[in-house]
Amino acid sequence: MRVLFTVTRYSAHYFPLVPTAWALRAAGHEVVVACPPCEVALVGRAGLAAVPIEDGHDPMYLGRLHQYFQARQGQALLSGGVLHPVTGQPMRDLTEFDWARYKAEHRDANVARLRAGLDTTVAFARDWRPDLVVHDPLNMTGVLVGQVLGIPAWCHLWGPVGPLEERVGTQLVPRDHTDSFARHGVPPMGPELIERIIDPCPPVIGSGTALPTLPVRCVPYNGSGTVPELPPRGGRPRICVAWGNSLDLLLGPGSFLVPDILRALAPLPVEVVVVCGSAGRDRLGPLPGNVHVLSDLPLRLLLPYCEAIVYHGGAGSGMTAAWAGVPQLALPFTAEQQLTAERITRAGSGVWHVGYEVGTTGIRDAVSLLLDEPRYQHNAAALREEIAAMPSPAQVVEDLVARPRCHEGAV
Amino acid sequence: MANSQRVLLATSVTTTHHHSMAPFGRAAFAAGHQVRFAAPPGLVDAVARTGLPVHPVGPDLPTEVVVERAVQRAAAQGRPFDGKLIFCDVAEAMTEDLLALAEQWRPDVVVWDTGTFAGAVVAAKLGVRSIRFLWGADILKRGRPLAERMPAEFWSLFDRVGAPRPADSDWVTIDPAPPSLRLPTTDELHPVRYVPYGVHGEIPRWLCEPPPQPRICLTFGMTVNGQMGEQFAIYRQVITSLVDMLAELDAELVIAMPPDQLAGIQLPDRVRAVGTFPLPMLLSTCSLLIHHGGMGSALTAGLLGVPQLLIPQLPDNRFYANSFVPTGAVRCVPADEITPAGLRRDVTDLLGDPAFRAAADRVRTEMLAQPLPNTVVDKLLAPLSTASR
Repeated sequence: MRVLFTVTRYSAHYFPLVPTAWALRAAGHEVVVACPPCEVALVGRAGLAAVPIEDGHDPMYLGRLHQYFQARQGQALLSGGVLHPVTGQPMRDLTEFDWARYKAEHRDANVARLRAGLDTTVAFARDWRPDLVVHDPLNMTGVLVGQVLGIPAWCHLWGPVGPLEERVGTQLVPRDHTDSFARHGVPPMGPELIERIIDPCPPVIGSGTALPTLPVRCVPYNGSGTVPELPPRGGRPRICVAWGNSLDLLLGPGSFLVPDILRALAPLPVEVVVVCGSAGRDRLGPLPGNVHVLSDLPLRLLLPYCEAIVYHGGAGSGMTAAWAGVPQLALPFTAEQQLTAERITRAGSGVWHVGYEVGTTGIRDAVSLLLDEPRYQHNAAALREEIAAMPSPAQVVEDLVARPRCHEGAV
Repeated sequence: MANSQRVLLATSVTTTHHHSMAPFGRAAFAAGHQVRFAAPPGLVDAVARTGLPVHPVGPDLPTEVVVERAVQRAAAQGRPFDGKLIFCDVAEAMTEDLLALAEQWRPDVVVWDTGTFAGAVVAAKLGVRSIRFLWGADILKRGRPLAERMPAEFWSLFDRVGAPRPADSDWVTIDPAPPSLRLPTTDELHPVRYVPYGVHGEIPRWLCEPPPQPRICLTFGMTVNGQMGEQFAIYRQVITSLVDMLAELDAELVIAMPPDQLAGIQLPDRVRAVGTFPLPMLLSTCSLLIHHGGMGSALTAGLLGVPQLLIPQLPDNRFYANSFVPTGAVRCVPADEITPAGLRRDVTDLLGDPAFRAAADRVRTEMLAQPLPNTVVDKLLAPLSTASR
């Protein structure tokens, strides 16, 4: 059987899909990943075949645009200003970006580019004839391909936020501003076209969607690479501070909380391992002896050896912590991160505070709580067991491919 | 985590030896096990492309050094060259680090490609399960008992660290080759469906359309590509001869090898040079694969039911190429015996005689009938049953 994965740019959006792709291949199916050209290398590094044809909007651009509109209504998240939606550079004031003018000047070109990406992927799918599609929640192309070819399209969630959320800023399912669904003669894009979910969450932390759902155990893939030497624990609890770079791209340097977190942790008798991109590392300056920085380390290799994690609220970090049974402090900034944090800590395996409000004392108190109160450890272990009890990606392959039509020549 | 097995995959020597076991490793990961590779530092980048984490172990021993050492040792002792000495050398250098890693990470099982003896030594020393992963036909044992096949250097790898010597009866082996290539063995043999490794990279649109004329694919593999110097001049002649006869054959040719190796060769319209390329998708559109006899290329063609012309030069490639001959799906001509006239005859026969295609289809059917990696993982690594949680 042939399975087409269509994914959005940024690895956090498609890494959760990788074990499912591996399981499909190991079950003898063909897998091809349609991705934006900038993702070819990382998809290849996950051992998967990439077709660089998918080219939707940069989700960070859409996110910055959302922040910009929020700021225009006096609801900016950070007091330090917002980023230019197009360039991603900090703006001194909101007039630096003129939305009406930008739209007038660029809309046609943007629509043409988006249409071309969608049409190219549909054309590829017509040629390659997949039997089913798997896509991430931000990806519209997979939905379109499913509709046009009349094959099942599975929306593969990252974590606790589902495709049918109501809260402002948590609606992941994209809108089609290009009229492409009508052009291809299928119903207009909308959440109602999401018909099937692959959900890595156990019920206690999940979105509780009413859609047909294939539960699959979270087996966190967060990149490959060399296994690092972990710094010594020195008999003290090890705290992982994980800070992805998405907030930098979305909200700018004002959202980089790692220095505050390190100040908060300084008086505590702990070892700290910071996992962040190399850009973040350069911003940290001199560090005390109990703080170690590891760049671009797959979290799954570290978290099983930690007593707690402090992170920016990303679903990838949160799910990896849940899988590892590590108590977590989530410091979300965006509405989607906050919903993730609310649900992922629902099992009592951690706490969350709004990242731009919490302050140093709040962080220190929260980490002390996680370390001192045994119930967090206990609940995190229970959540880990609940996740371990879910069917593995290898076990769900049969259900995934059970319904679609078969076709010849699959490897 | 607590319920999953720790699986250590050991590989060495060259950038392709981990290819056959990578799908097994990924399947184990997707089944919830903890999976890590161990490889000499120089191979870490290549192995990391599996998507699985890699521990660097041991020093890097350049291929030419170990080959030269094996040649000299054979000469000094007045015995014929034995490629297994290369593996022994590499294993000796790798064992200490691999053992230290295994003592720290405590794998439940060590899976080693058939040329990475350090994996067998470490598993034996720690008393954990040892699984050998073949690249294809069993080039190591060749249907003979260990005592007959293995040099003294092999046994002393075990003696040196105080590990029990292995016996034929306790070798567990996973075999991705079609059963008709299988040699007699007393190993506990687990067949597995071959899953091609080489599907990285971009897939051009033209691959989706059926070719107007029969399409021939030519590759000299990943290992040979890396070293195609003087020694492989014969392969350049093969390319030139093929290009010359294309019009007459009314076929098109796709050459999958690095462009610099084609320097100075005139390529007409019917020829596409695609660089290093994902072979499985390409082969699904081809009527014939011409190659050097590497096991990755041969098994991929086997899985896709494509007849093959094998032109082996290196000793291991000769072994693999010959192992495919009884299937009837291939023709094998040693590189030093190839002539333009012979090449034309072989290509014409392989394209024209339906017996080759029929035999290739039988190989494909045979390969598709083997248990999938997911199944073998469940069989060999205790499945995570509800009872054990």
